Amino acid sequence: MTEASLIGKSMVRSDTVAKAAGQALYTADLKLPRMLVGKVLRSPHPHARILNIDTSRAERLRGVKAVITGRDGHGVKWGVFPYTQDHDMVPTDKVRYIGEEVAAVAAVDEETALEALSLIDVEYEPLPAVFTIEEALKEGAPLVHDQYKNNINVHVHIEVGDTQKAFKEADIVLEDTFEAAGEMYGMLEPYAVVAHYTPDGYLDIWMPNAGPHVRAKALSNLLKMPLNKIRVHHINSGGAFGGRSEISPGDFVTSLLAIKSGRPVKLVYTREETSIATRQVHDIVARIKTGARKDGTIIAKEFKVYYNGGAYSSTGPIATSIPFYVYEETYRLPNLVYDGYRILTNRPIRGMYRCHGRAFLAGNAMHMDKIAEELGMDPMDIRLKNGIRAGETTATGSKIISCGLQDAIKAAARKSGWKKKRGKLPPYRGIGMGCLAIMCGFPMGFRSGSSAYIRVNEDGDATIVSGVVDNGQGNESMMVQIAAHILGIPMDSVNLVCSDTEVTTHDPGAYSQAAAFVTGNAVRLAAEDARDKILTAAAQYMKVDKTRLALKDKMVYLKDDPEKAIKLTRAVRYAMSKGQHIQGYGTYIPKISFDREWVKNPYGQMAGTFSYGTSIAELEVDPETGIVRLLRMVVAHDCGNPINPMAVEGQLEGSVAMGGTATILEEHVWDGGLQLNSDFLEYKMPLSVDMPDIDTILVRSMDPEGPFGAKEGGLTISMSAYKAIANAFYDATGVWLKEFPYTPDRVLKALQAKEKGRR
Amino acid sequence: MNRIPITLLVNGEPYSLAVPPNKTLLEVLRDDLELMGTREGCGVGACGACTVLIDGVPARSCLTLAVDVQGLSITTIEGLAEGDELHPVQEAFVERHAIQCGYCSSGMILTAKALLDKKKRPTKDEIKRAISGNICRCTGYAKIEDAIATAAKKLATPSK
Amino acid sequence: MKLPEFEYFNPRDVPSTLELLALHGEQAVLLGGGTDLLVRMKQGLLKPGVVISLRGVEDLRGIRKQKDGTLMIGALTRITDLLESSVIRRKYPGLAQAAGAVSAPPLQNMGTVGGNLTQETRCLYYNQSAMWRRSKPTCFKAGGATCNAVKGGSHCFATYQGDLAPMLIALSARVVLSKKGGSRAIPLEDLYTGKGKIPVRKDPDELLEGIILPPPDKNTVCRYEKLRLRQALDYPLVGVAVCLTLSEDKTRCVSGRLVLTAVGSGPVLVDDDGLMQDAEVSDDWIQSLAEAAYKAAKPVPNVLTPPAYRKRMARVLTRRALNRALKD
Ligand SMILES: Cc1cc2nc3c(=O)[nH]c(=O)nc-3n(C[C@H](O)[C@H](O)[C@H](O)COP(=O)(O)OP(=O)(O)OC[C@H]3O[C@@H](n4cnc5c(N)ncnc54)[C@H](O)[C@@H]3O)c2cc1C
Ligand code: FES
Ligand code: FES
Repeated sequence: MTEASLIGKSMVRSDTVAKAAGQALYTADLKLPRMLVGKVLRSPHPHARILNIDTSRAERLRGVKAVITGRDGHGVKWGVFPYTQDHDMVPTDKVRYIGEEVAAVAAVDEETALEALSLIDVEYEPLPAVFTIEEALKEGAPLVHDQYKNNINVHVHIEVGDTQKAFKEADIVLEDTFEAAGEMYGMLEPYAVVAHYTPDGYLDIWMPNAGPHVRAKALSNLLKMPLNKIRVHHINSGGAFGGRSEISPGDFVTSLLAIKSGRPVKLVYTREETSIATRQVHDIVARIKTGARKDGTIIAKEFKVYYNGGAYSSTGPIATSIPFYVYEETYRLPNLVYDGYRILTNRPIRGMYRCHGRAFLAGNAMHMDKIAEELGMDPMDIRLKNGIRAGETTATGSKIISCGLQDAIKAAARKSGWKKKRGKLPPYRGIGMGCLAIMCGFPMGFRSGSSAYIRVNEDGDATIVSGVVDNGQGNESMMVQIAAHILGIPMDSVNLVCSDTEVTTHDPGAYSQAAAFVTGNAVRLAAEDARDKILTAAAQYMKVDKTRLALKDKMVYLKDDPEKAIKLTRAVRYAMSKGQHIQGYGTYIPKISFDREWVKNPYGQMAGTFSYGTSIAELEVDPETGIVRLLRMVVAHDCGNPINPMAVEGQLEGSVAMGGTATILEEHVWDGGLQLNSDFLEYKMPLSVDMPDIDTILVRSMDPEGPFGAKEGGLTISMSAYKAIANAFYDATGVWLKEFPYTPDRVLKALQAKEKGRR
Repeated sequence: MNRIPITLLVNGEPYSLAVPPNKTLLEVLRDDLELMGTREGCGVGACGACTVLIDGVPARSCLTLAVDVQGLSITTIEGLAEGDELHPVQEAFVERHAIQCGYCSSGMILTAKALLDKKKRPTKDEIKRAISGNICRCTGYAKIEDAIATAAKKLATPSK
Repeated sequence: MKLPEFEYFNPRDVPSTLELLALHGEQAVLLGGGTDLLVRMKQGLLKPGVVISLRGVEDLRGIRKQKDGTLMIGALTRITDLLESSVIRRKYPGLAQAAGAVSAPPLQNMGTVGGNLTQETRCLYYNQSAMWRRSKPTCFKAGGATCNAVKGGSHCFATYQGDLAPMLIALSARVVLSKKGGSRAIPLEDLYTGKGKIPVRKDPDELLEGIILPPPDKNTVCRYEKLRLRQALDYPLVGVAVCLTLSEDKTRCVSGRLVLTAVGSGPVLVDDDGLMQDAEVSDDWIQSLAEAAYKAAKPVPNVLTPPAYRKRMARVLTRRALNRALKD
């Protein structure tokens, strides 16, 4: 008998049978006795002072059980950081975007709730508004918040080496501006919240979220309630993609309605509300200057990057930094100056996104290719040359402990026929490459760690208690697989109780690529602890040395004499009879710098480890219509060691849609502060028929810290697919197209400009 | 408002209800019959999350009046499995990792079933076309297409 | 999003439908597949007092060859039925192309020919929720006095984006309109006003019963070209339908029609200035027709993609449609 391995096998996910059967519950499916319907009154103005709100007519309407305004709150403003607390989740002074919460009602049915909204009278004094980065930065522009001068919400300044000197020494210097419109997260599930408050002061709440513990903490601040009286429950989530990490105004509103009415309240957003009143993606303008030596070494970088942050801070300091970090984690950058500015405007709230930073990241990728071209280098070789390696330290001081970048580049190149194709395809067909790294976990101070608990029952089955969150990625199943593997029992013998703040253990949540590396490690340690306890008991029972024992197929057996074995249940019961219940505990916190801070001290170890990836895109441009057709994407991702390979492939394929096909389709379009395409018809999420053929490659760098060598499962492709497409577009057309997305009108304009230039 | 007495035939079972004419089939399935597997993604026909089969044909339940489909046979996701036994299409979706967040899955699975009822061995292009009106934000569709092809094979070989 | 309240009727045959229409006239709407109507009702763009569902009117369904060689397509025939009909596929392949380009298969299963032809004009500033529209002045189409899409516009510019009408007009189809006491058949192009606000010219108590297609001609070639951002679901940014009747040796165009969609408030039958009457087929000829289409296309900024681009695409797509039609 050898040890059975579940790791590295494509296992059926523990959560998908219920989903396939239509039996998995999402927030909008919940029904509680006497539950009310919540509805929100939203601002029609992008910027206006609230002079008066009269809710008396609405309150008198039959069937209305509660009406709330900002006055029902405690005047506490939300912010992820002490210095960004500026979001009054139902404002009382002024509204700052179209769609902002002004009041809300809970009523016995939807019709009554909607009628009640129409009976609330709000008097506004409209104020001048700013919508674009340019408008907001203009001298004398109206201020979105008085405390942010020139509407500059966050300024991240990072400086390494001597950049001015390096530019002087550079043989090639490039400078360009790149622009990208913000995208829609487009979770298929509209946002929804159910809240229930009991008179003894307990709040039960359900909503799709990527981090229940941070939600509970935020609610505890805003509602001035103790943390242990707020219970964020587990519920399936219809996608998150970097969103759904922070508290949403809807959580606050529903809680207030439940508290005021004393009855359970369900608030389900319309699709339009989901896209205008939950956080969406920043528009970005990135000015990039690059200096390189004749041999292709990048020696200097200067960045000025502007993010349209909408009306409030949200994760501002993080959003303003991440594109830079994922870049510095990919390449050796000895000299650089990064200035990131998050600008406030009268647009809806903005947050972090799985593909965040396309103007900046694709811009850098285009510079890399431009340099390669000027030097007559293969774009692959310039990446191999500048790519960071294990053992090195990034510009801001993160040590790289494992790195599959070189392997990812080479594997993707081989699979895609790179050498045969690059620069050699027929006119209007092209191939391009992009690479990226990603941190496995953001530094979140004392919140950066995870712990887990495992109990093995007398029937040999186990229950894990973990804070792990699953928004569809397969995180829950991964924890089950890790524990099953270590305990030598099948996956369906493991139950997982998770993401329920009053029951489960602390966890950083599933929005910073921490699930496999951090949560996975905690579950691994807990399972190992439980295994140790089982083996200790079995050793006593079998009167052998513990080190000779192992677990498999619900048996404890002697490694050197597998015929000698006892049932796992025997060992567990024996332990229990001695008062030694089989309970394992594990806790893991990544080795990061705790004195690092996004704005004040952006230096030090960012995360425990980093994963790496390479995308190669092949595409075709119709020179008459400007339509870009993606033909094939080859993507290679170093996830350390895939715990469930098919699940990782699924992440990569999803990334090709969201970070790749989106490059030619996706953007929010505006008329000032009004979103013109908040729906699924005019906002263009890729369909099956828009997708290229996809080849996925899993690279194994066996991370020394990760559970079974595992790191993160796919984000490098979400953030490198557009890089590959930008470079493939150049290969196809000879045009550097610096404005995203590559819609046919933009493409045609760029092709024409090139024609003109030639004549 | 006035209610109209109707009988809906859902997953082979007749349900007698009185519904206001402005109620969509989606609302009746979820609110009255508590069949929550039919999901709302957009409410206006643009995503396919609410897909049900009406006389075996995929349709948007968010754009169908409940009073308009009385007497017709309606299949929702809950109607596919037989007891604990998943339908081969559901099985293939599970095995081939075609489900991530699961929000599109009911609609996708029903659309796939309708395709395979009509066509035993669809080509890759036919599969792509058949699901081209259903949005999945998670998977990039590759594993869904693979699952449908796998289901076709399962259905072709008589079960164990 | 909830549908507004209404009274519901589900007649079983054409005469009782006409009776209901006569009774309720102005305040009644007909419900086909509902894929256009119910979306607008959910957005609060329309609150009819009465909805007459056609779903049970079996005599409106189906594709029938008539004694005179023409083909009658009932208004309740679904887009999918067109695609599955062997007569359409063999004898009117251009129509099959246009049908295949409508939205995506699940919506083709629901959408009817009658609904497709009489669908409303669309505008990015109009087809929005009631909540959205509060942030803008009421536009012409919603009963107000401004156009939110075209600055200073003196009337409604909403865009007609149907895919079937251009091809059916190119095929010289006639449409049968019936009301209590009588029926009329008019050329399909006459159904359209070309006006954004009220795009369809029909009495409130009239039912679109069906479409009559002239007998197929073996020398007629047709083609539909549609430009959209995604390869399914999306309405056309520009659509071009051509039908050409060629001489036996295919060197001359005896007669023909070129019709555009999504570049005006109705389908645009391009005035070809006699170009398609007994003309020699040549590259120059194709180019002149493409120019005529360019001139006839009058897109405005009420669809996501900029109008200047869409106008140019009318030219490109016309060239493609002609070349491909001639190659088939
Ligand atoms: C996501 C989405 C994408 C779409 N994409 C396209 C597209 O690409 N191309 C396209 O052409 N359309 C598209 N549509 C619109 C629509 O689906 C089709 O036009 C469809 O054919 C309309 O038919 P219906 O039967 O559903 O119409 P309905 O909604 O039932 O009716 C539409 C209008 O016609 C009237 N009407 C219906 N039948 C009759 C009749 N017999 N006599 C008189 N009046 C009648 C109705 O009162 C109503 O005003 C799309 C719709 C959606 C939701
Ligand atoms: S909810 Fe019906 S199509 Fe989106
Ligand atoms: S699995 Fe999430 S939308 Fe398809």
